[in-house]
Amino acid sequence: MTRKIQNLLSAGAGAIGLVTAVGVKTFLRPCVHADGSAAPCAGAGQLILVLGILLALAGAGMALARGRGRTILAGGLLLLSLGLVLAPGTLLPVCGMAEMTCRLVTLPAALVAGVLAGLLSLAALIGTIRSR
Amino acid sequence: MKAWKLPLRNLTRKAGRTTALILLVAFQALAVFGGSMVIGSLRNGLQSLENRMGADIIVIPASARSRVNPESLFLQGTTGYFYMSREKMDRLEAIEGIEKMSPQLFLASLRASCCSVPVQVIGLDQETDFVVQPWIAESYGKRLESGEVLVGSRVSAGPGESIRIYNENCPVVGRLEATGTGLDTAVYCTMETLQKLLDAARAMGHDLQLSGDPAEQVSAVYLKVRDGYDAEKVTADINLHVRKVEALQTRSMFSSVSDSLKSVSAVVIWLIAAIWLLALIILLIVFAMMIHERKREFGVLRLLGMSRGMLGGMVTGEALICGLAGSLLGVGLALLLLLPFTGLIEKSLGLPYLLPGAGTLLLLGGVTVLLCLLMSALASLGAAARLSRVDPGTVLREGN
Repeated sequence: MTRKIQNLLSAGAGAIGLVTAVGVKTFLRPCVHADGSAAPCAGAGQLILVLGILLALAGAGMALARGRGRTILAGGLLLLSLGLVLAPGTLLPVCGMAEMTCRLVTLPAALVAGVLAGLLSLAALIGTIRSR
Repeated sequence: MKAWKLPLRNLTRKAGRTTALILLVAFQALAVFGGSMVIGSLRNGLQSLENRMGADIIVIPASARSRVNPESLFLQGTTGYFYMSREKMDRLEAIEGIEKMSPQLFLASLRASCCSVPVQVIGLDQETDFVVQPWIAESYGKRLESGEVLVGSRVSAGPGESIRIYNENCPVVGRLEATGTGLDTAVYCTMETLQKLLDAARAMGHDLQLSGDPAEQVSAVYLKVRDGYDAEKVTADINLHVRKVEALQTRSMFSSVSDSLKSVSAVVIWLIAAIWLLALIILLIVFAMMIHERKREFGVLRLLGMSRGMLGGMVTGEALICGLAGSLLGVGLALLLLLPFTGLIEKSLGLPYLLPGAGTLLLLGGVTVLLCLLMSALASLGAAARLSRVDPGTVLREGN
């Protein structure tokens, strides 16, 4: 696999991270109580935001990295994607009721984004290992 | 070299073209599998709703419609409450053609401890209930005691936990099977439990617009019509002879759901058909262009001793490999996109939505893969037929 394809794959994973980070503050926003108090899913929302930003940075960093650093970054992308899958519900709680926004939108979106970014990162990681 | 190795090498050598072909087939598979999954889930949901709603008629207070849409309340799980005097049941008994009758009492929690959205609490008369009892028998199998509650499949609190409604702790003793309808978000208890909750709600200062003793109130009466009687006529009789109530025929509620389902299904089917037609045209064009572009390569292969049949087989092999990879990718993507968003789809459509079982999904996936393989093979057949007319000498001379 050429370096260009590896960069494309990691850029794809980074772009998914960026969309997720922007989304969790806009269209994938977790629940907010009517009285303004924090819902149980607020922590999960914050973690998704951080993971999304880190994914975007790591994805962009692949274009600049050389040698072993590329493998480390690709591995990091994979771990961050896994974190995105596990963040809502497993690492941090979400609201209990199935009708809540975090359960309807935020959790499934993080799951889908994490799986897609994970697959792209895995392909990039295999590519960097094989090309070394 | 094994027969499948040459097509595979040809495909990996032209990675861009192969990726485009795989993505095209994946899009087709996504449309067919995803569309079929949505239609199947809607049909499953309607079936489940029909199985669960054992009553022919539901009688509610005439004023209820001004507070909540009864169809949304009974079919989509919208919360709401309204009350009428238990005396209405005596009047209903006088109506001819009623076989069974069972009352229910409703209360909408403001904010249960388990969650932050209101849940519908439904009080059942266990002696007469014929609507929820068969469903409870499947999942729980015992009588509910006073204070105990059963929860729908989509309520977060589970057996062994307790749910706090209007400052009353109610132990959850069981979870009911999923129906794909609003019934999954409700909490079920005995009439006595619900009367206590009504008292608790009133003690907390909530205006339930309930006059008198909660024990003398009901929210809805479920009726089963005797064999040989027409439910429509019985409904009309009730609306005519019992004052201040509205009788709703459940079949007419289902028919509105069924009509919505038909329109959604029609849109999905037309979309799938359009996508397939477009994809078939694109595949035919792509294969025709590919044959034209690779004429010299095929000429050389013919001179090296490959028969026309072997060349055709190689092109079909390439198409089948792309078809298999694309269809598996499409089915996987559809599962990844649709399974986690089941709740959102159900809420957006506002229709009963119950995913088919794993076996059905597997079968659906298998059929989708076969369809995609068949279409890829069909698209490549035209190209293979054109190949049989290629004269290697002419082609190679053209190149010079």
